Amino acid sequence: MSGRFSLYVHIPYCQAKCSYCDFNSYAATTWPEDAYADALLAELRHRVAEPPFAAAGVATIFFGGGTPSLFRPRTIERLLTGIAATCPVAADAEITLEANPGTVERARLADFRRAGIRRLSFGIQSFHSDLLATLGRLHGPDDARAAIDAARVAGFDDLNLDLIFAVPGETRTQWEADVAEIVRFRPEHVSAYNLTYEPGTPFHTLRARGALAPLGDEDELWMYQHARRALAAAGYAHYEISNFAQPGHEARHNRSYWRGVDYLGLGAGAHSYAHLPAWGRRWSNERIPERYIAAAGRGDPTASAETLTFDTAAAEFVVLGLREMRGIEPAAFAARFGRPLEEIHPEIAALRADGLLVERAGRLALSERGLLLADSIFTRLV
Amino acid sequence: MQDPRFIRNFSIIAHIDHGKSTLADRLLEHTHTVSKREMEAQLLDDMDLERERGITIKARAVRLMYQAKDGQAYQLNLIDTPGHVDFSYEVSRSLAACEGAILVVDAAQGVEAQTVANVYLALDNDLAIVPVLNKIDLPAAEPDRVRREIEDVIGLDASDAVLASAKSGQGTQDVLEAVVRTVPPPVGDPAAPLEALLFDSWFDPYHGAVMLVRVFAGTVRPGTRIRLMATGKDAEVHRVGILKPALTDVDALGPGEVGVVMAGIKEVADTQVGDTLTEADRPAAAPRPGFKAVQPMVFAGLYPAESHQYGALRDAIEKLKLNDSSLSYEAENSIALGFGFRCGFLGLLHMEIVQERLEREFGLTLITTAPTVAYHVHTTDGRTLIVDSPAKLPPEGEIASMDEPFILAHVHVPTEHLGNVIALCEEKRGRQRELRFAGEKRALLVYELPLNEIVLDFYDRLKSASRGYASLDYEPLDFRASTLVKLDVRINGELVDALSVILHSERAYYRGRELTQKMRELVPRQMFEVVIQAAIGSKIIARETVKALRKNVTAKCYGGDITRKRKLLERQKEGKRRMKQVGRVEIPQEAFLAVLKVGE
Repeated sequence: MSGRFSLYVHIPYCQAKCSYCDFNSYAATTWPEDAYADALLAELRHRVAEPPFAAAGVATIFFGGGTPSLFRPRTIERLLTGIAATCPVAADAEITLEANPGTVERARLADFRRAGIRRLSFGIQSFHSDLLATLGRLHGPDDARAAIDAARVAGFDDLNLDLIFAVPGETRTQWEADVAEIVRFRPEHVSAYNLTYEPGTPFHTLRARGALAPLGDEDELWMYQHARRALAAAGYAHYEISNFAQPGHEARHNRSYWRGVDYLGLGAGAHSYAHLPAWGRRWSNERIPERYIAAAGRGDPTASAETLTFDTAAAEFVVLGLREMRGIEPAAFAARFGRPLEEIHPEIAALRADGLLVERAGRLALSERGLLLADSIFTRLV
Repeated sequence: MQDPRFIRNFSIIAHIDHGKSTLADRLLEHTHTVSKREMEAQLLDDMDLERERGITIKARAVRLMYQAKDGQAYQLNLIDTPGHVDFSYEVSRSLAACEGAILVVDAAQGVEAQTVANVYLALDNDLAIVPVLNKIDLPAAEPDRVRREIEDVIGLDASDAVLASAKSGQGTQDVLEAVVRTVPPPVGDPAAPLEALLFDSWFDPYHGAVMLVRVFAGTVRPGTRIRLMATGKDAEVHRVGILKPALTDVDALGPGEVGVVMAGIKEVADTQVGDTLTEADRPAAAPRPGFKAVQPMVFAGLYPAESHQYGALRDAIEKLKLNDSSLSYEAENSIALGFGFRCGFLGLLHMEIVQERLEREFGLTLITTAPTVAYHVHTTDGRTLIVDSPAKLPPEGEIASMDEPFILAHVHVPTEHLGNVIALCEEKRGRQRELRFAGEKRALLVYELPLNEIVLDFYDRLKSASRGYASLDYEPLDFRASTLVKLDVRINGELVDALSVILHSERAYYRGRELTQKMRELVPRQMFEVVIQAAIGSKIIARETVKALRKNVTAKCYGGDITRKRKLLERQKEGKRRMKQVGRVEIPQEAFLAVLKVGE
């Protein structure tokens, strides 16, 4: 929080909406790209006029979506130029773009790199066409392979690949093959997500109707543990519940969410956090792109805001911090909240006694068993 | 005071939905007792709860003045009756205040089970019956068929039944004329010692107990020193009135008249239904027949879902008790549920009504334990204890023997369902005393049954065994020696006292299995394995396991997820807070409620 913040830029358009996706995204064939980019830059100028973003430097930039790679490289370049003209961007800033492994985007990778993108994140999800079809993805396994190769050819040396496991119908063998193949590509970073059924998604409805049979607990557990074993053996450190990285390649942008670093989210439905005033503030923007564009043009696109209390801030510190395998530092908690960690969260003693939380190198972290029951633990800490 | 020759006292008997309240409204309107505008539909049922359930819990009476075709003005007292087996004694007292009853039957649906028991009760009280075929304007109305049905099923001459539509008002005057013609006038000497039947009472914050009475002999007026013959309570009357339907003061009530008497009695418990009011200085030779002290028959623990509501629950029960002398309560403490009350009720419906009123009128959320009956326990050292809660049962070694309460049940059932109902009564350890046929289609079964079987699930079972056509009516009989055991539920070894039940030894195994299976479905998976056992003493008779939660972790939590995830966690925590803790196991409230629904 030493005058640095993370910048998130939300691009809400997609070619198709995936059946499991609950992000603020809209299937579209055309979109008002220039107007949207104008709105993003207008919002940025509005936000950085006030603390804590005024005069602070940008440590990371993340283009997420939706599918940001649908935007022309020229637009991305204009945005990066506009950002740099509005606030100081650190020389070593991590600048990530989320991309689909589809054909169109693949052809643009070199241009994205020239535009200033330094890190790519591909939604690979699986190398099995049946599972990709279930997930509603438009790309096939060979598209994914070609996209990864193309990224390397374009010069990207910082690559994240997303995988999803526990897709209905998925076998343990399929997952083993996916993990093995990912490792062969040697990406710097891997995210392995257990599929979740989020309210409002087709998957949620289908499951409720019994039309979609989720994998059993035992399979989910096995797949998670397999990913942890196989990725560790291949030299990837498991540093957050679903994230693995080669040393030094942890996602700095995402890490700021878990560490209570200020982040500014630009775009439709984007969320932001500022540690000031008092115990902090969270807000989010108009979700509908047209309304966002209009609101940003008028000045302030905020749709809802929440001022954190001591209790909510103290709860967030713990449940976000514990997502990282290194856990939380009791001294840092005490410094921020003025009282010892275990006094504010008396449940910690019981959780430690049960072996769900452990002390590791002066920090408090999830134990091996605690990792698997993180949500049950977090429920006791909010 | 009116000449008794021009008084008619009657009630209305009807199945739910057959139009009792609507007909009452029409009678009130026709006699200009209330105007149409004042007629908030279904005037006689003044509690929301009653309206929703379609039953009348408390009897009320209203006076109508009717100018008959013979040119004479008649005083008609319409006495409303409660409509459920738990209140059969109250029904019998209300009927005892009448000389006649209107029998309302839906001209389309015909005679329904529920009606029949009350008709018999009316006939037992020698009431003249005025049959009315209601909803005669419906296209589906079949007055001839229904008339025959009344004759076949009830054995009542329905040839001159009045055809009416309470909804449209058609036939209202014919009903009133039939009442005047068919119901006999009361008789009684206004100068004789007072003899008035108390058939309802309620608490009024300004007047104390208000007594609704029917005078049989003598006269009651302000200043009369009265005595309640059963409770021996003496008091001076300060106000006498009638309900039309608002309270109106009168100088006196004479023979045949119905009205309210206020005598500054503070406790409704001193004004018991069925008691006789007489004069303290000049008492009647004998009270009116039929008085019974009402005693709670069914007991259950009532606990606040959230322990901080204990004080509010106590205040609420005290308030209900003011108006409901049949409700009893005492403080009780459960390991699983905390502080609550052991309450006694007339029966299951009474229990449900009290529960609902506490929740609705006082905004409480309650956990109710399985209802039980009061057992007589003979100890090895020669004492006899009355045990109305499994928790109060002495250890096995100190019990010499136990007696359980039996009831005499009257079940009216269409003959086509007779076999099923007999099978049910036998399964419930009943002993048949009598089987009587009324017409070709209807039978009356008289059974001696253990009350604890009734309390368990008898109503539901009876309903399904007879497709809803059987009616049950019962009275306490006696206590009989029985082999009873206490069935306990243990969760991870800890006794869940609130789930214990006392039952017949032959029932224990089945119930134990059912209970543990049900609990397994309702106890959510926790971070460790949960073992649910049913036990008799130290002997385990059933066991189920809720496997430990293996994985519960949200895969994704980035910038846009944080607020939502935190709120989700907060909601889950709130849900956990409402769970009850047994040892380290969290048990949702539904688990305590659902065990009541364990069926066979």
